[in-house]
Amino acid sequence: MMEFWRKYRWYLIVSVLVYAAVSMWLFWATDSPQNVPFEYQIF
Amino acid sequence: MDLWHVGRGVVLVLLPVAVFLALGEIALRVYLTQRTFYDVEMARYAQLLKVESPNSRIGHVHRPGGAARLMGVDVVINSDGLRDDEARSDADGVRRIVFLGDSLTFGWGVEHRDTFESLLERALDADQPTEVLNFGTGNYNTTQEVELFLDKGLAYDPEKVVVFYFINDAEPVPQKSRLSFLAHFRIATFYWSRLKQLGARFFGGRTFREYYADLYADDQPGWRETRAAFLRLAEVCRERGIDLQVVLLPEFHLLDEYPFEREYRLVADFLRSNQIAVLDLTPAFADVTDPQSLWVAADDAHPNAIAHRRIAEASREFIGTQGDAR
Repeated sequence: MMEFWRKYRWYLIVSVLVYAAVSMWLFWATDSPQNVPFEYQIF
Repeated sequence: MDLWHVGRGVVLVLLPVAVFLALGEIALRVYLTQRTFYDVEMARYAQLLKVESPNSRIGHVHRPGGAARLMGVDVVINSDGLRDDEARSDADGVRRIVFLGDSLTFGWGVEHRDTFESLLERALDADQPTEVLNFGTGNYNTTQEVELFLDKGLAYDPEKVVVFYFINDAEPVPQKSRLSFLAHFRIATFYWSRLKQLGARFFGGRTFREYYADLYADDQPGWRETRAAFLRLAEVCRERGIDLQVVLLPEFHLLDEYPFEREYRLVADFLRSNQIAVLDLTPAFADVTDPQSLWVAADDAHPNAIAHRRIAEASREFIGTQGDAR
């Protein structure tokens, strides 16, 4: 397990940071007045 | 390629996703202690206060005795599944009026005392002892509203029924999604909601305007079911001597140049041609040039307490009269 972490830690860390950055962008890009119909049934 | 390499590949793909989702869920839950997201609140509403109805045409009902804080206000459901006080047991000499509707009538995002249902009850009660029963339930369409009334509203022996109609009440009856378990995860709700908004803005997804207008095409099953539900309700009310009225509530995105004039004229003409009294409240809001001042929140175009007061004021005289078709 430790060897796996040592070998791939930067890949894992960078991947999580990329996901976080995309989420922050999504949050910023859609933080505006409601422009879609009411949706009550979320899923 | 041996099993070790396959396993390593799967772990390398899934592990960052799992870590990100877990951290995102925690971060979002912390963030949501300080502010609200409309879609997350609606998902919580479904989780905390809705239960499946044995009547498939109703779909869902409120959990009797349920309570939750949603969209920043306390919501308490009475023992009969209504967002209302317990019905008076000493109702002799008190006229009862049933309000049917969706989340607007329910009073989404508004304290109970500030909903148009409460305001109208107090105003009407001052003229004549009156009890208004709020059957408003989020996500209902007209078919569900009528079914709920037939299921439990008739037992209250009301003198009058008022349907508060909203532009999306012509949607088909919603079916429970197989993915409903995802509503437990705030991060899933966040992505679902935000990606949908992104689609509408940048990739030509349907906006509220196109979506609502399309509901009223002749071949739309929801609109056909809505008309059938109104006729059924009118027949039951006629048989039992119950006064029936319909109030058309405006859509709150654009009020001074209302985009759904054609659709509301269609609804009003249908009701009048079937001797059902109708009041369109859209003109009462035509002076509003800043519609967001009447919203619950920037991401939630439900009417706020100010809008509820205006709805109550604009419909009081109509509801105080007999429902002769006009």
